Amino acid sequence: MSIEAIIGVAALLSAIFRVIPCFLTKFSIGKHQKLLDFLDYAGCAAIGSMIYMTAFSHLDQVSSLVNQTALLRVNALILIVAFLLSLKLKKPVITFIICIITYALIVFLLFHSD
Amino acid sequence: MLIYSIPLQVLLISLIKANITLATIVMLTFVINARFFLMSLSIVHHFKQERLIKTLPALLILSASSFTVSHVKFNDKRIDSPFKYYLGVAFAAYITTFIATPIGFYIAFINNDVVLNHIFTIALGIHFTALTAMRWPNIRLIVATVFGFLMMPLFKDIFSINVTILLVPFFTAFIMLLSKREKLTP
Repeated sequence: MSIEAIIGVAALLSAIFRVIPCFLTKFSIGKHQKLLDFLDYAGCAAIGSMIYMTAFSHLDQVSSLVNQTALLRVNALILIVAFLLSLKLKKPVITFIICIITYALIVFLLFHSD
Repeated sequence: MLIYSIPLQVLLISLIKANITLATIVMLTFVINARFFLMSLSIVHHFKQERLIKTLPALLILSASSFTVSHVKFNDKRIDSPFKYYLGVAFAAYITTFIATPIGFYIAFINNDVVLNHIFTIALGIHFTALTAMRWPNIRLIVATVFGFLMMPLFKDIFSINVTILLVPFFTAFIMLLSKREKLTP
């Protein structure tokens, strides 16, 4: 198969997987509370796994072991701070801005301290 | 180009030399898009009053961000129409993607600045974490998110990363349901 065909088939299938649930509503999924709860939990867990992926999965690419450990701690800490701050402020956008500026400063100092 | 499936397409391009078959493409698509299938399934029951011709194109632009932002707000009584709210969020995210993709490509592959790379990588994590806190006081959904987070390193050591992404949500949801049933039983 050519590159265009492979990418095309992949995109088409990705689209199909997203729209299949539209047809499943015809089978009255809404009446089954347990199934709805299951899907809500699964959706939240998928987000949790994505948070892990974005925060920690790329750290093994950092060349210095000292920086790797320090980044691991900083990333874990910034996620905890983001959660608590968002909980307190009830403003996720403001929380995001504060956390990303703080993180940028810490990482900048970390990589330029040598 | 119009569908959110970049990780899948990048993976497939890297596998082209291995002469992949249609069956392989279907399997990889399912494994990588399983989370979107779950997210789509999770929000579509909020759109029951909408016609199929509207929900079909709307779900094509579903992303993890638009799912989280919308899903958090669906139980808010101030939201009259969950579908319109979702559409506003998803469409804004879709437009942003077109602007952010070239910027991300420049930072990751052309500029290749280590500090900027880390900041842009963690941005998504901070964004999702801040949104997770907005689920309060629905503690069970927050616990499911934290559980999904904590299961990743455990499953990652046993399975491949793509299988882990598929397994963790199902496993977490199963455990959460079991714990709920035990709580209700006297």
